[in-house]
Amino acid sequence: MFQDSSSSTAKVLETMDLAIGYTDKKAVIASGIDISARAGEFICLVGPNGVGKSTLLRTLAGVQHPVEGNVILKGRNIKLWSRIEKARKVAVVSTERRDPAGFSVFDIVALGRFPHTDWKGRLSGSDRSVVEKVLGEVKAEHLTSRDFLRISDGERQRIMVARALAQEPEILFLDEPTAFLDLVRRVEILQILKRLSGKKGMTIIMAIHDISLAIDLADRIWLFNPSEGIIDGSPEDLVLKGEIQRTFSTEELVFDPVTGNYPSATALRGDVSLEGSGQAVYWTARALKRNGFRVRGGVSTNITVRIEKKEETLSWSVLKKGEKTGEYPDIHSLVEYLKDLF
Amino acid sequence: MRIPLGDIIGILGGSQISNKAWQDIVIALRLPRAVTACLGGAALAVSGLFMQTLFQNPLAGPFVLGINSGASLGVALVMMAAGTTGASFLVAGGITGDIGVVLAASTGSALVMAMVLVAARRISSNTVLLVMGIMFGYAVNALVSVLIHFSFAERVQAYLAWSFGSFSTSSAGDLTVMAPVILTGLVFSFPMAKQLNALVLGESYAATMGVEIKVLRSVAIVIAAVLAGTVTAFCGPVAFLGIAVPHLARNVIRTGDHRLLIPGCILTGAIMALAADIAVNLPGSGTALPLNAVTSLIGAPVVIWIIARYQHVSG
Repeated sequence: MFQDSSSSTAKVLETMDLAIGYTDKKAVIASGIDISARAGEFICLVGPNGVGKSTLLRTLAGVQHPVEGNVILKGRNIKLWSRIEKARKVAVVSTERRDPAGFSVFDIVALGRFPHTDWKGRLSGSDRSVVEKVLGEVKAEHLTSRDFLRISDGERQRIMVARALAQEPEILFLDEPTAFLDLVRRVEILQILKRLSGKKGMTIIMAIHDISLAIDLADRIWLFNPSEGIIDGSPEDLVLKGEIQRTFSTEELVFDPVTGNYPSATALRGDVSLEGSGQAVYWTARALKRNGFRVRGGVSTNITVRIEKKEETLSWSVLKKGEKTGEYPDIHSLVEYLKDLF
Repeated sequence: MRIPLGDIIGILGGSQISNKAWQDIVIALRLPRAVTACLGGAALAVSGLFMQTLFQNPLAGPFVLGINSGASLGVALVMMAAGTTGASFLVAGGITGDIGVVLAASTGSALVMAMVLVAARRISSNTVLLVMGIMFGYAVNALVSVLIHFSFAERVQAYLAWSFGSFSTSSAGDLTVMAPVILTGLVFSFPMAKQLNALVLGESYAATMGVEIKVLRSVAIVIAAVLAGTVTAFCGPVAFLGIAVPHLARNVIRTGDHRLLIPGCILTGAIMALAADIAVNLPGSGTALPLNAVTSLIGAPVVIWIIARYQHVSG
């Protein structure tokens, strides 16, 4: 047996034989869950749609009661925490969306001070500085006095993260925080979160449907498999053991552990080798893969693409058995030529 | 009756005026009526504000959601089934009769409101909820009609007069019950502001911020029902003030913060109710319009404006 090497950091959250679901409907979604999270960990919860990720997050955050078993928050059963005590340790960014009229961005973030203010909800000087600080952490200082209803979706999601941060939690739960965002906004949010977990030692537990992003980001992945429950491990271990492939592959689609993605739908045309340096190689390889060419390195192939740079201008030459048969000014015309060739 | 403004100020200031009739009119009729209008408008507005936040629905309000109808049923049961004798059913029972009517109206409001709230948890569409509220109203009014059918003519007459709505029905005697109940309700509404603010992002967010949702919902229902129910008991079902005033207040003070909206609604509600009551007895016209006709003429366009404005939200 291996030693538990991470015992130096305390467990902030732990479950014991947890069963989640709905007690009133006697519906159990998953049972026998034994997982734990340590301070500062960035954990991604992944799994097929409808498997119960949101239910698990709500149960761990103490919003929903477990059907069986226990959730232990900082060494104490979460049932024994009052709502206010919990809200000072745990914050949630959910998928719930409301459009409250008459609130500035500052007001919305200030709602997160709820568990810290008096019964009147009046903000003290320190409450205000926390709000300003968290707005800075999500890079939204410039939005402070804007109307909450008049900001973009990407900005709104950053503000919802700031609102959760204003609770000054030790654990932050997020349910698909990037679901409706374009790639740039998605990466932006995830980088902010990654920085928070690293710098502040905040534990972040996030449900996310984008597996390749999860593999890139997470210290640990909780893989929610409908038949086996939760498999816990580092992303790399789960790929090497084939767990991720098993959970996400179907008969038609096979998950590719090398790219962390699904292969393109295009049929294979043939093998090409690629010569050159810099970014152009990466982007040429991508275009070739998308169009059904397998890019081989160090293996001799009939066709070679050579990328050259003359006076800041790129050009793509095609060599057939070492003889140059054409030269192209961009990737598009190169690909068109190669398609004719195969 | 035309009384010079200077004399009115004099009477209110406590000085003796030569015309004894004027003094009686101001002290015994007009002052209680103005106070009733202010209290009624404030109570309906705060009740509407609570409902709009609780239902997370800009169209919620005591009248629209059929909650007034619940109060009407309570009142109808007390006055027609249990029965009181005398010309005016409200005055007849004295203080105890008043309290009985207030209790019946508040209970009726709370029951309908709880039912609509249960339905609202399953239905997210504003439009469907609105239609449901109207249906609740119809069903309850049907029960009232059945009661009317089996009641004595003079009681039916009194009930119908009450159902037009008026701030003038209450005397100084009624105010000794109405004013403390409404003032208590208003006082208790202030400490709710922080919790209601947390609710604007939805119940699940509020729960994660530390709000005890079930407690908040129960307390807010009781406050909103007592406020709307009491006004309905004394002034009849007053249309539209409850739904329209919170929107006017939001627009005037440009905030969604309940710490400002609650006093804002009290002030705007009182002003709107006074204005409506002045319009009821247009000075110099000598005739009195039904209060509900006036508030509907003001309120209905506001509601139409709200529907048009929130259409993208309700979906």
